[in-house]
Amino acid sequence: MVEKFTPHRAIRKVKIDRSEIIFVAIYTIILEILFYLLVPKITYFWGNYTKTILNLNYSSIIGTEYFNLYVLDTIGTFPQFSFSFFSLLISTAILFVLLIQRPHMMKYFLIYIDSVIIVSSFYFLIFKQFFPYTLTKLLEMLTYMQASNLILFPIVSALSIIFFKTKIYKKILFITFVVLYAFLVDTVRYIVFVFITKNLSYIFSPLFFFILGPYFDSLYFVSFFSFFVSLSSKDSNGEMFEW
Amino acid sequence: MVNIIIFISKVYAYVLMFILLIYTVRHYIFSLNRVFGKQRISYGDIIDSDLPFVSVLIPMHNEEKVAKDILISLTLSSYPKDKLEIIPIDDSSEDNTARILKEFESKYDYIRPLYRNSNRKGKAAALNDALRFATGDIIVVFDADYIPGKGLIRELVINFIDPSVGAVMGRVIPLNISKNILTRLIDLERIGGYQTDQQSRFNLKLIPQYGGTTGAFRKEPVVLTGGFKNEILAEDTELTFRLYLMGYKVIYSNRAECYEEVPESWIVRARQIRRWSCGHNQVMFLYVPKIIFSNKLTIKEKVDGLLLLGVYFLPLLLLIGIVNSFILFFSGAYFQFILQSVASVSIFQSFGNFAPFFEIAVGTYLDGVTNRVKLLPILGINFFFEMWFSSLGFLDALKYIISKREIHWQKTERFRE
Repeated sequence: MVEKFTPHRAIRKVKIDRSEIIFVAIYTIILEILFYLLVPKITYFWGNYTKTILNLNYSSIIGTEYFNLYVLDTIGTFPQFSFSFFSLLISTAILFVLLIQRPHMMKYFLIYIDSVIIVSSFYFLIFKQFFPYTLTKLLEMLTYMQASNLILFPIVSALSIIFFKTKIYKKILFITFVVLYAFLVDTVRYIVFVFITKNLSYIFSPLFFFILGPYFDSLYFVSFFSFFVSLSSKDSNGEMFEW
Repeated sequence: MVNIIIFISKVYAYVLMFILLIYTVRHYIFSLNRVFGKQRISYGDIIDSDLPFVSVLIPMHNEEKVAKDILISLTLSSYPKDKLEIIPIDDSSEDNTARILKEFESKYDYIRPLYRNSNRKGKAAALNDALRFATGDIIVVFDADYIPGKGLIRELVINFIDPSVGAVMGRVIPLNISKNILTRLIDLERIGGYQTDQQSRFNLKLIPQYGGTTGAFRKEPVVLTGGFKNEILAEDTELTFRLYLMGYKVIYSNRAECYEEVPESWIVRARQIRRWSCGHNQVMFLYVPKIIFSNKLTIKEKVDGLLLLGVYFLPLLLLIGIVNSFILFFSGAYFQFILQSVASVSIFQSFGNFAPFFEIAVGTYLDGVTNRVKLLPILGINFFFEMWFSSLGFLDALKYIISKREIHWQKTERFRE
C-alpha cells in the first residue's frame, strides 16, 4: 500500500542507487585524469589561439612559474593619466547615481561592479608605477584560475548532482556539458582579456578577476545546475521518493 | 606598515577560506542527510485526548490588513476550544486593529485580547505582558500575517508530551510566492532553510532553531528565567539557546506547515534582514562563551550552535573578504588572491543567502518545485544585497552591545489587500 502513495513532502527521501553513484564517480575520475593530462595542452591552446586570432606575431608562448602550464608572453598597455582620470570620474558619478536609488538587488550588484572600476582607476591614477603585474603575469593568474576551474568543475558537478534521481546518461551529459562550456568560456575570456588589456589598458583587468572570473563561472554553473534539477524533478513524477 | 597590512591580508585570506570550507562541509552534510538519511519525525502523529491548555499569542501593531485573516483561521482550528485561549496583543496600534479585536472578542469567548499602551514597545515586551496574562502551560506564538491551518496547533502542541521538549518549531511557507522576483527568491531561501537545513539539524540531533512564530514553547522555564529579553531583537534565537542551556530540546516539525506573507518590496526586505542580523548577532555576543562552557550541550550541539550563531556574521566576513581581495590583487599577492576569490566569491557566494545552492536545490526537489528552482543563479546577484544589510545588522548589534541603548523595534510592513 505504501508503494501506491507518494510520501508527504515533510518526510520524503530519495531512493539511493549505489551503482548510479559509483558510475558517476568513475566517470568523474576518468574526466579528472583526462583533464589533468590535457590541461598543459589546453593552456597552450589558449595562448596560441589568442595569438592567432589577435595577430600577435611577436608574442611567444612560455611556461608558467608553477604547474608546468603555458601562457602567452605579451605586453599590455598602461593607461594614460587622462584615461584613468575620466574613468574614475565616470565610475564615481555612476556610484553616486546608484547610491541614491532605492534598495534593490541590482543596485548592490552594480555598486560592486562599479567599485572594482573605481578602485582600479584610482590605483592607476596615483600608484601606476607600483602595479605589480605585466600582462604575461596577469595571464598566468588567469591561466591558473581557468585551469583550476576545469579540474574543479567535474568534481563540483558530480557532488552537486548525486542528490537527484534521474537517468544516468543525463548526469553524464550534465557533467560533460558543464566542462565543455567552461572550456569555451575560458577560451573566449582569454582572448577578450588580452584584447582589452592591450587596447584599452590595464584599468579593466581587475574586472576579469572580480566579476568575469570565478564569480561569473559560479553563476553559469548554478544556472545549468538549476535547469538540471528542474528537469530531474519534472522527469521523476514523484516516483523517486521513499518513505 | 605596508608589509604588515599585506601579511594580515594574506592571513585573512586563509582564515576566510577555512571558515567557508567548514560551512560548506556542514551544509553538504545537511543536504546528504536530508536526501538519503533516516528522517526523524516529531510527535505530531500521536493521538491523545489529554491535550494541554494552550495560550496562542499574536503580537500586533497596526495589523488591520491581516488581523482578521489570522483570527478567522484560528477560530477554525480543530484544537478543543475548552483548552484554548487566543490572546491577540494590540501593541499601541493607531489603525483599526483594536476595533477588529473587539469584534472578535465579542463573538468568541476564548479570544481575549490584550490592549497595550506601554512605553516599552516591541515584540519581546508585548510577549512578556501577554505571558503574565496567559493561563496556558504551553504558549503558541504566531505573527499577525500568518495563516495557520486547522490542525496546526495540535500538531505543534502534542510534542510537549515529552518533558524534555522546551520548544517546537513548524515550517513556514510564503503565501505570496508568485507576487514578484523578491518573493520567489525568499521562497527559495525558506525552502532551503526549512525543508533541508532545519529538518537535517533535527535528524542529526543538533540545534533546530525555534523561529519565534509558527512555534510553541513551555511557559514555565521561560517565565522563571525572566521572560523575553527586551534588549534583544531576535527573541526567538535567544530563547532557543536559553532552553538548550537549561537542558531542554527544540523539536522541528516539518509537517506543521503555516503560511506567512513575505516582504514584497526590497526596502522592507532590507530592513527585515538588518533587524534579523542585528538580533542574531546580539545573541552571538551573549551566548558564545555560555555555549562553549555549557555542561548541558553535547560536543555536536556546541559546534552546531556556534556555527548557527555565526550565520549572520559570515556576510560581514565576506564583505571584508572583498575589500581584502583588492589589497591582495593590487599588492601582487596573487596566490592568496586566487585562493580567496575562488573560495569566497564563486563556489561559496550563495552563503550571502544563508543556504548554499545545493541545499536549496535539494529542498525544491523534495517539495516537487519544478520551475522556481531555475531562479537559483539570481541568488548569486542577490548575494550583494543580503551581504550589505546583514553586515549593517552586525554593526547595529555591536552598537547596541557597546552603548547599551534601548532597542527600537521596526515592524515589517504588510502587503495584503
